[in-house]
Amino acid sequence: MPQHRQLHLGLNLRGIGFHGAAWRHPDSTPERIYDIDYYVEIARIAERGKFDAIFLADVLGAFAGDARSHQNVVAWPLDPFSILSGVAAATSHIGLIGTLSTTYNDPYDLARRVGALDLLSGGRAAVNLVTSAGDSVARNFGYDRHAEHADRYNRAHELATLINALWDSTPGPLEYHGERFEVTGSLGLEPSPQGRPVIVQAGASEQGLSFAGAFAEAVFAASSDIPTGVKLYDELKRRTVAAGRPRTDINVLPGVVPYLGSTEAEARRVYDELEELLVDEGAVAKLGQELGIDLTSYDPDGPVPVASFPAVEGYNGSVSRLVRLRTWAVETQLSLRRFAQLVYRNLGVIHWTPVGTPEQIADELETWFRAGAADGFNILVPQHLGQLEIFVDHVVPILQARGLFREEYTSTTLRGHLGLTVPGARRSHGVGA
Amino acid sequence: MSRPIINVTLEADAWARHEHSELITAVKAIESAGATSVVFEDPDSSGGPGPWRWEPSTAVGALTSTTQHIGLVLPIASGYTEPFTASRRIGSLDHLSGGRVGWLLDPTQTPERDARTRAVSPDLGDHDPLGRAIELVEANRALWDEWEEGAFALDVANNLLVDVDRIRPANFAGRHFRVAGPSNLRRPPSGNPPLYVRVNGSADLVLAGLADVILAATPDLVNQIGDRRGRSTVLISVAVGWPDPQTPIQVSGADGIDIVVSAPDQLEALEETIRGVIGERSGAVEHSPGLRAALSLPELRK
Repeated sequence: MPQHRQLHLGLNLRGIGFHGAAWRHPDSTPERIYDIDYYVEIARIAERGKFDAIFLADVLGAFAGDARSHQNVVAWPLDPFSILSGVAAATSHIGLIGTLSTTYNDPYDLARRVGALDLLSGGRAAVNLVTSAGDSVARNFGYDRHAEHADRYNRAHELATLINALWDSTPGPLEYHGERFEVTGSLGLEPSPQGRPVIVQAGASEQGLSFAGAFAEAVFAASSDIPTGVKLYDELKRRTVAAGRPRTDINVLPGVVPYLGSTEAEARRVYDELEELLVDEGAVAKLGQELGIDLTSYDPDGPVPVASFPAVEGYNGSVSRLVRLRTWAVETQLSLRRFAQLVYRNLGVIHWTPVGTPEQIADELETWFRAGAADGFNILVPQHLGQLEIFVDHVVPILQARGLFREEYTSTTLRGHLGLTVPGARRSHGVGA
Repeated sequence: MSRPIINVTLEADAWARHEHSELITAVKAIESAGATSVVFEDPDSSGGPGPWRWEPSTAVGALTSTTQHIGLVLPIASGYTEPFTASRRIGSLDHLSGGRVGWLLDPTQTPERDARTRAVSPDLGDHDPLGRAIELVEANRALWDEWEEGAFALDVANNLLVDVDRIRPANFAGRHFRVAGPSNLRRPPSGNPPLYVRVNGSADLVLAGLADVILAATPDLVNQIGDRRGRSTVLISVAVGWPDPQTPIQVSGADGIDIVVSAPDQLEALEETIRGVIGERSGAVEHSPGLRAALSLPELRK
């Protein structure tokens, strides 16, 4: 084991890539997003690059947000744990992180699915817990309205407490009586090969940060520059320590969308080529739909009307995204039109998007890492498979040569890759084989 | 005469101490022996001895990347899930496997299971496991029909990845479930992943009326299924090692056989039994159009 700190790499695996026009590029194969072999191929490339994990996001409906439009259709359509099970059977080391909603899953079923993937993969499973957003999701589960933000997080807290107890419940039985859940029985699964599956989180609202401090072992952060990255990093570490956990038991992984080329000009060409494929289908109107306000009455070449954005109190979408949009609008000082286009370019994710050579991207990652803005990074590939292969074959070796990233896996579990505490000494005398 | 359809049921308790990897090895062997499909029973439903080392939806997911031909049938406990989750889980696996996934409806609810798990959706009806199971079938099928053919448009020229005008929300409203939709699940490759129902007695005949594949415990039950047969494929269940597996098929007039494996050491005998049914025509069943075609079920196209 190296004495110095090394960074972690996760691949945010969205099959068609994160650039909004990636699927239209002649080198892309969007028809393969329903094929397990496609995901296996991508995961194996990431495993060749010694990535800590692949990650799959999820939305419980056809549209992101309540508006039903072509622009809002969800382009990552399959159940993440179905994909990850297929990938687990065809890989050996890489961690497998899937998203599940704390609002629309029962703790037992959730714990069982993640626990079973953990067994299948020999201790490589993690769950990214989200509280979901929007009334349209609620209506897919028999409710008229999505639960209020605070209620959702109260439920998430109790659910996370309970799934940890369920993962520890073998041989059981567990007796749990809480405000929302009652469980008598055992999960019925063999204990985890890594002690417990890993818990990941992404929200950055006040409640999201508090949840992360209590439970998250990795956080997908969204910081678009180093100062905001450092601030969020310190805040997450502080909350983790305040919750009585070691500082190193939370890994802060900002998202980055790198556009790579062998020369700076080539990288710029890759970026421009994708940009040219992008058709502006009313990004301003779309931003208004997402926020629940009418932005079309504002001058698209004027400033972003931040004052008309909804208040955090009572906002039932993703609060962290609302805050980030507001901050970003103020920071960038772009016109409304340009800002809206930027927001939706990378399929609506707000992340740092450097363009450059492998050397330049490695430099940037190192700078963020050394500045205390990151324990590692969640890589959002703008276009599959080409841009991922360049990252793995050209950026990773530079990071390795600098001693910043593992040359080989030193563990077979995700907890091992991430340097996390293995919960409970009880595991050392677990059920024999 | 086409070759008889062969399903293999892996009884949950038989695999209590086995890992996913052993299950994968077993299913690969069953695939190459020539079975059409394999049904997984859910350890969580059997109430048998734990702790377990595998779980059915995870096993089926793993088999999408490790098998090529065999149909994979996932148990769904209608008392403990809801249509959005169930339809998406089954449909996702059907996509990933290239149209090879079916589902086995399990309507049973027990106090032990109630004490540890429940569905997330409010159940609008009274305690009525059978009614709830029937409604789950209807709602799943409604959700699978939301995306018309061509909704996943991939139309580069017109910048249309998904044609939203070809997605019609299910707006399902029943006695037990309400689901507005639309789901993000594109119509599964098989249209409707085939529904398997086990008939152990006449009480199960109601659900059999909804089934694509009926697993009948006795020849007498095959007869009772009667005119429901027209729409379904009926298989007669026998234990591994049944001396003359052709006979129950002929006696009952079933379309094929359901071989029940109750212990992992029965695999060799299972291959023997499969050969007893299909004779020299052994080898994996290649059903490139998907599981529905392999089961002689009608194509479903919207």
